[in-house]
Amino acid sequence: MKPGAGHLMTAVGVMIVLVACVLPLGWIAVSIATFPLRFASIDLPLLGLTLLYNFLAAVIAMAIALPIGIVLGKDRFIRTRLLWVIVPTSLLLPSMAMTYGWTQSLRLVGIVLTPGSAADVMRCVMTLAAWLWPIPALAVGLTLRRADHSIALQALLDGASTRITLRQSLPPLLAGGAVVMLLAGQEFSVFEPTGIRVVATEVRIVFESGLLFEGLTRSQSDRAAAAVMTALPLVLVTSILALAAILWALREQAQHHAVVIESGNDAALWALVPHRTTVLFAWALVLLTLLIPIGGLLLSARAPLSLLTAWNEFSPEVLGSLSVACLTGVIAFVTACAAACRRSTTLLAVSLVSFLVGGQLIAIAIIRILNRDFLFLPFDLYDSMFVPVLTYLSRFVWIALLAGGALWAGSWRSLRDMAHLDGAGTGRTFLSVILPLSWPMLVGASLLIVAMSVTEVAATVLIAPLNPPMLVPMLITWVHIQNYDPMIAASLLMICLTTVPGIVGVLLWGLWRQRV
Amino acid sequence: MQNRNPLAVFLSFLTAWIFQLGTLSISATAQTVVLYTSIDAPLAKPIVERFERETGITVRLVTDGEATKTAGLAKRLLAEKDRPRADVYWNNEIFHTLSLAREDCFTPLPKAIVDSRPAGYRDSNSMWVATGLRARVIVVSSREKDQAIVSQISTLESLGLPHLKGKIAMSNPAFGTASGHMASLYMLWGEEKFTRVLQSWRENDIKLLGGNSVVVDQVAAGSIVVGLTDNDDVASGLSQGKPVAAVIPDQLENQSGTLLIPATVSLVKSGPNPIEAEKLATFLASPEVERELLEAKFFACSIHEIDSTSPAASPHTMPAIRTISVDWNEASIQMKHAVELALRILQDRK
Repeated sequence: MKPGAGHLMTAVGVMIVLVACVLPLGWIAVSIATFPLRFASIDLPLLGLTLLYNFLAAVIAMAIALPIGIVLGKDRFIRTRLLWVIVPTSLLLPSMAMTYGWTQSLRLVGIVLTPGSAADVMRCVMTLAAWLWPIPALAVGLTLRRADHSIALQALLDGASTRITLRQSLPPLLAGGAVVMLLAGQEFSVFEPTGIRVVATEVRIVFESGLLFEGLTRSQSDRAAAAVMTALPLVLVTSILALAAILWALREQAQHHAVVIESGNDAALWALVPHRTTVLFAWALVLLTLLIPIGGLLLSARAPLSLLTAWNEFSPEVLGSLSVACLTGVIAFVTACAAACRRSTTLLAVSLVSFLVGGQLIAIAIIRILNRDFLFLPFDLYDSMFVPVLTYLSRFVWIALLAGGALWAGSWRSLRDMAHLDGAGTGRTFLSVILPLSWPMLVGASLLIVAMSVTEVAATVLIAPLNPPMLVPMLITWVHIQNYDPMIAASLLMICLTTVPGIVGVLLWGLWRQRV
Repeated sequence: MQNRNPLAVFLSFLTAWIFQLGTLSISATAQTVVLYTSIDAPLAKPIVERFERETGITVRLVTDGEATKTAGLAKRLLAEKDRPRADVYWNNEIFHTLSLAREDCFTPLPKAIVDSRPAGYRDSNSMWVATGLRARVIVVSSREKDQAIVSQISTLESLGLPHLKGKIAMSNPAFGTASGHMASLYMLWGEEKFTRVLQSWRENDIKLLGGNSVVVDQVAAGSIVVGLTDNDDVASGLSQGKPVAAVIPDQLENQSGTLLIPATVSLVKSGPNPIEAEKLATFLASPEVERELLEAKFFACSIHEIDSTSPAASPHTMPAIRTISVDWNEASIQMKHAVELALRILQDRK
């Protein structure tokens, strides 16, 4: 391969991030700079309430996550290897399906909550926590796996095992909790049916109705800018919190935990395996958070569920969602390869910001940018699948960049240096050395993006793609119906759609770790 | 060929595939029509499928969610005005249709459709026609234990009675038929009475839910006892055996009546499929579709049942239901102010 190939890949990666992330972020920045209302219109009580709800969701998610994270980090049996597949996969389950499942479960056991009451708010908080707990659990699990086991062994001998484990778990737990707060702030479908006001529902009102901003004209750009201004304070607060918590956790890990190679001290590792009760408790928590909503869906169906009937009814939308998600996955894979060819922390940072601002703002920006004539194109760009693909890339391409960037650390760098010494250029090194070793991880990351694209709600609902039709906009028109078989069937179908690529992705990731 | 860079070849193929995938369905536009509708998807879908079977034209159906009913699609039509994607707009109410007509979003309907309507149920410029009427009603619990509470409810003002505190709900007035209802009440009552009545609702801790059907569901579930909603949502609840009943408000001799809201059909200006659009609009505005929706209890009554001798200012006066006499066009102009005022009062906003 010629040396230019690496540059070509890099250029493609940069172009993807520029179009998918920099462009919408730039539009948002211009909107903020030019919008006349500025921060005077911030609804502080609403911001405070939203933060409180998200904080509660984070606290509950952390409480669920801690025992599971400890088991993930310390247990070495096959039972926990299975957990390592289930936990990340459950994070990919569609929030709308999970919300509907929890509602059905409560309905089945006869729990009736007054809309907007404290109990109803807690139902929403619990739903969010029961969906997002895998984030802190995985953070804790990964940290404990990488921790210096000699410290844990010494603590075991000193009778301080629990205290040391908790101290090691705290930074990743809090960082995971901060990310839960951030993601919970982007959800509206949980709160909307019972009229609970949070910032995300307010953004919908402002963008969809153009109300509530004095002096607002009827133009779409004004509404979009007003929606951006509505969402921005929460995005800023939660993003800063999340970034601070993640940085603190990373610093703590770097200061107090040496990375060890596990294979060197197998007997010692087995001594650290948690008590069977802890493992059982962790499994019970995982199964409860998964089986209650899914069981609720299955038991609520009034007619027997048939896969064939569901396929006949939803195949256009399923194929549409899959086409868009797969195309997103392919482009994400190319981006991951580009990041593996040339590392760029700037691109990763930009893509992370693009993720942090949330789906609603990104969708609004992309609608504003692309809903116009592009005379040089022979087709209507706005009416094509490029709009949802671009939106999903904007949201999730950071995963691909992170995966590609991981191939620059430690032993990978040595491999590259050796290849360079043998005369291989950037492109040849990637194709002949890095890719054959790392493809499971790169494909796994792309599959995770596929699964996340299928279930993305916040942006998809605003974009409401026509070409092709997709599942999520259809489901949002049914989510209010108390007990509706097509909604149940479509929710279960969506769970299957995300579980398959999710599990394959996680398994590929595991395969890569074993190889490395 | 041998010297060709494999990576460049792969990227070229990938780009071509992406382009092809991205544009694939766009080219297949023959015999297709795009319908934006706020009619509930479970009702609209079989009607649209019948049209597809009868004509061979494929309909791309775009419905909206309950929580942002009507307003979301109306704003989308406005946003797409210069480059419309939709061909036909089948709205479940009239107020947003009138706003969009003022914004020049529509093109005249075929004369035959317009002429088949009674006076007052068609636009003088043929931009819309009405197809059937829904009524704003109060949904009440039909449970025995709630009868003492609900027996006193006969007017909208009675929702402010102190014994209903914590027991009432309506859908968010920013969306759906609640927007037009607020605008109509604002015009009917004037700002002072409108503010006073809504404040009494606020003092009763009224819940603003994510849709009219959610109001019925919550009454049926027993979390609230009374709610403001549409007749079709109550009918749907009753058909599922839910313990609810409808009260048509303000029906006594000296009372104002309730709001009847027609659904409308319009042709989107410069829509991409004008010929198919005319066929679909003609179909949707047909008496057969209106009858189908009457039988499904979506419409409360037909526009053809009206008293043609009614004064022009209140063309929708009906013998069976006492109705609010309000100028729909003026109400649609006042809607933004009325809804914002309602939200400020009902949600204690600044």
